[in-house]
Amino acid sequence: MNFAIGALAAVNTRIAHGGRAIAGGVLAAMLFVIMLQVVSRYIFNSSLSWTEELSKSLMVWSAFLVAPWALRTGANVGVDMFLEAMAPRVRFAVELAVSALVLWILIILFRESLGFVARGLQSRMATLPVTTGYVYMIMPVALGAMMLAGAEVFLRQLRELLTGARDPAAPHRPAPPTGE
Amino acid sequence: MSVAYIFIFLLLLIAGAPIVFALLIGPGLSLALDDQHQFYPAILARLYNGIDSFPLMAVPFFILAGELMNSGGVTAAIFRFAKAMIGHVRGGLAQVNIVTSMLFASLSGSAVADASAVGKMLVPEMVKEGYSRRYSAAVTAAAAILGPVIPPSGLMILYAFVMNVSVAALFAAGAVVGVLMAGGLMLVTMALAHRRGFPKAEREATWSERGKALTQTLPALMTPVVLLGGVLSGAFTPTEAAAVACVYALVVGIFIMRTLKVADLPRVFVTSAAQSGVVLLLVGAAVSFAWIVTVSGLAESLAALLTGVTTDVYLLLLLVNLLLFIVGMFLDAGPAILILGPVLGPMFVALGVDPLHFAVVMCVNVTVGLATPPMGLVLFVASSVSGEKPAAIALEMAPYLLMHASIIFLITYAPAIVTTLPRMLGFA
Amino acid sequence: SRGDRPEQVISIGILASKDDEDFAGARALKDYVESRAGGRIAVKIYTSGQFCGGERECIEYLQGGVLDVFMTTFGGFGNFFPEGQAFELPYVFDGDAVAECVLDGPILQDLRSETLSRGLGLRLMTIGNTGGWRDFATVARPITSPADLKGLKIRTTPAQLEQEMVRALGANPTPIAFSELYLALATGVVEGTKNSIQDIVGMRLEEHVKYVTLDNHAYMGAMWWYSDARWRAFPPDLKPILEEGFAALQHVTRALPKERQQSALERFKAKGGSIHAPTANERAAFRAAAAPMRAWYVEKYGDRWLHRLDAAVADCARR
Ligand code: NA
Ligand code: NA
Repeated sequence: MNFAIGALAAVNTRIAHGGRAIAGGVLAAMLFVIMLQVVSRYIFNSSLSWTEELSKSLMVWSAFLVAPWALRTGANVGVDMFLEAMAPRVRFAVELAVSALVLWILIILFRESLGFVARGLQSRMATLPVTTGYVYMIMPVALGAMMLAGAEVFLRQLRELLTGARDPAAPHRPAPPTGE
Repeated sequence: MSVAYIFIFLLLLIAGAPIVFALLIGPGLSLALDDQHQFYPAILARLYNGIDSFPLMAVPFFILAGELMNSGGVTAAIFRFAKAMIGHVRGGLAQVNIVTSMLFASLSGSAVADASAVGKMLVPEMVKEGYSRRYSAAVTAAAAILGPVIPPSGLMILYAFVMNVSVAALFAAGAVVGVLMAGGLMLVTMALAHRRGFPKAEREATWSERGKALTQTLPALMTPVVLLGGVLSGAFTPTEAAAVACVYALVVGIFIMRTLKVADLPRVFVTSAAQSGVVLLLVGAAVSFAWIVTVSGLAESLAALLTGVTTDVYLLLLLVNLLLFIVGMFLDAGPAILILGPVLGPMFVALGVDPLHFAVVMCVNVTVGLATPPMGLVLFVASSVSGEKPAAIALEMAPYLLMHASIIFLITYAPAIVTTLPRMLGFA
Repeated sequence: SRGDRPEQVISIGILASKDDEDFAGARALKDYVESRAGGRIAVKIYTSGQFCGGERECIEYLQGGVLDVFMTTFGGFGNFFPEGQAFELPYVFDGDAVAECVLDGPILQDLRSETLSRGLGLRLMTIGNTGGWRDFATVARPITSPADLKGLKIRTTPAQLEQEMVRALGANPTPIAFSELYLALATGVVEGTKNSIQDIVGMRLEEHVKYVTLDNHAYMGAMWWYSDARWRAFPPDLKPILEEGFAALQHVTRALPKERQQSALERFKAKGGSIHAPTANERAAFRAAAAPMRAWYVEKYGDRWLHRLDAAVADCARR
């Protein structure tokens, strides 16, 4: 198990950092596209038709690109008030059960995302010269990466339950809150 | 389709599951138990399409703008200005906290951005001057609520997007309510300052010092003028305004105030993308959850339950405020709007309530929920910047929360406060 | 008890609100089917995008069997059946009678079988209307000839065909979301739009738009689709009732826009707007100016569907 956790951690760290870095670039690209939309309307007196659809797609990509990192580091907010009142062993067991369910829903969603892409390949984007399926591909990619991160979290928490010792790298401390 | 998902969701919340996953697992497990796998594609597609929205783009942009302003020293300049103006009265620094929050609120669309920006800077200053750490955190959290009430507001954009209400009208109404709320907070602070003998600054700033602080802050204070002016004159749409805010913060930070380094930019972009990604995913999951609430008919049952109690609009408004307050304890403001807006909005409109009026009451109510325990993002931020427990801060906030509640009461029963300005401006 | 539950629940997803003729049509279908199926069918209507938020997503739900019924415009149809944009070409139909005759004719069956044979998983049930006809509406000056459009900034949807058409008539197409159109007209971001008079009054655009030219350049057809997977699983003995239900839907969605157009025109006039109904000569001038659109279409999508459409129009006009 220690080996599996180590191997997953090595892969997941790279995915998490890579995903975050690309998402930062995607955010910059969104800003550029929207400013291009404003500027072209006023300076060149003509509107670009593709800016809205492109920037929306970029936003979806940026959200899913950071999802593996968020899952792994516990950046997704939860209520830990009740957890804190539990005995350590009970808490480990509850956390493990939650992680198992997270992994389960990720597997379900990953399977669905394949059909989602397949159907998307049949329809074209309204203004971009690709089929919707290419834009949808972020879903299986991100959900696959989230499954890897979810597996690592699950194994770490399983080890915690078995050994009774806290794993400092397991993402269940109250995380710094983000956003609104 | 059963409503098991609502119990699974609540159970998962208690078990400390990340809310974004609780929102997905609840419906997923519920459909599996009912053997209705054919609806799985909708959970995924709603998650995707919930994020794929143009008005929602204001969220990442306002988070980015907030980060740029923090890194660029804009927030610090606002604090210096507010301190020069009113630092000398009793409880001055607490009042400065509120005014800074209010000014920051007119630049950012988010209470969390407001709380973290103002809290990081002001809590240490207040403690240095002799305020308790707990009180400093409490006033920060109470004032941060202004973030999404005073325009721009990510939350109101969200409501407008889900419920098809005019963003401009909501913003105009929010400005009025925000100023009212800030006034209420300052009154409470004045009372507390006299009862508890809060500290005040050694001396009053001279007018030349004030002038100097004003000149330094002017570019930052111009941001709302640029944004609102741009939207009202039709130069850009509300969503585009969020992008313009980022560019303006970049220009001010790099060229005018010269406190933002180009080398910092990659870090700022990556941090903002990470923060907004977490929020966007939560929005997507909430849209997915809202789907099953609609399709399973829970929304109608809830509305029927409420109207079954009474048909008196005034009483119903009171009940709905109580309901929202309770919901606000457990649900974050964004998901609360996404899930309950489509249920409650049409119901009250059918009863003859002005859609704009209801929108504002609902937005303000769930925003106050950001600072109520156990689930309150603003409370969590105030806790992390001060080191105090969320529950302790919430207790200390009681007088402020009471003031927020009275203002909600006021705008519920005096709709003219909310609707007059938007009407005068021609938005409603 | 369990036995009282309907064996089939039909879900209809609608993007518009309950005020729209789409809802009225769906309501007609629901009333018809539920009253005749002896409790075996229940129909649920979800408005305002509560079931799915956009054309693309709803279509994917039909394909996946999540949703049973959904309506697309001709423009939305073009996203998964590009040649279908022939129906959106400017001035292909002359009046309601011709449009209705064509869309009820053999071309309906052609469209149905071709969509099915392409494996799209969508079954075309009927073609109604959603809003009447698109017309030009402007803020500052009346439009009586294509020359009047020269240089005007006209709002369009993001669809390429609409933009090309506006360009062909000499104006500048400006794609803007419908929800942002009011502000865009108020502030001069655009100087005109192409919408039905009903949508113009519905969005209170008459506060800024003062001239409407009833050039009827596009018929706002509403194509109602059934999920093919769900259709094949539908009890065969109930299928005729369902088909009659769609006929009721079609009847309502065609009748209502005609009624509403009248009241919208009156309201527009009462608000100080002026309405111009083009003469036959003026209409010919618009048609001639927009003629390059046919070449544009043929070059992109071939002439097969355009020929079929022209033949059907000629056939119906002769009657
Ligand atoms: Na704000
Ligand atoms: Na709360």
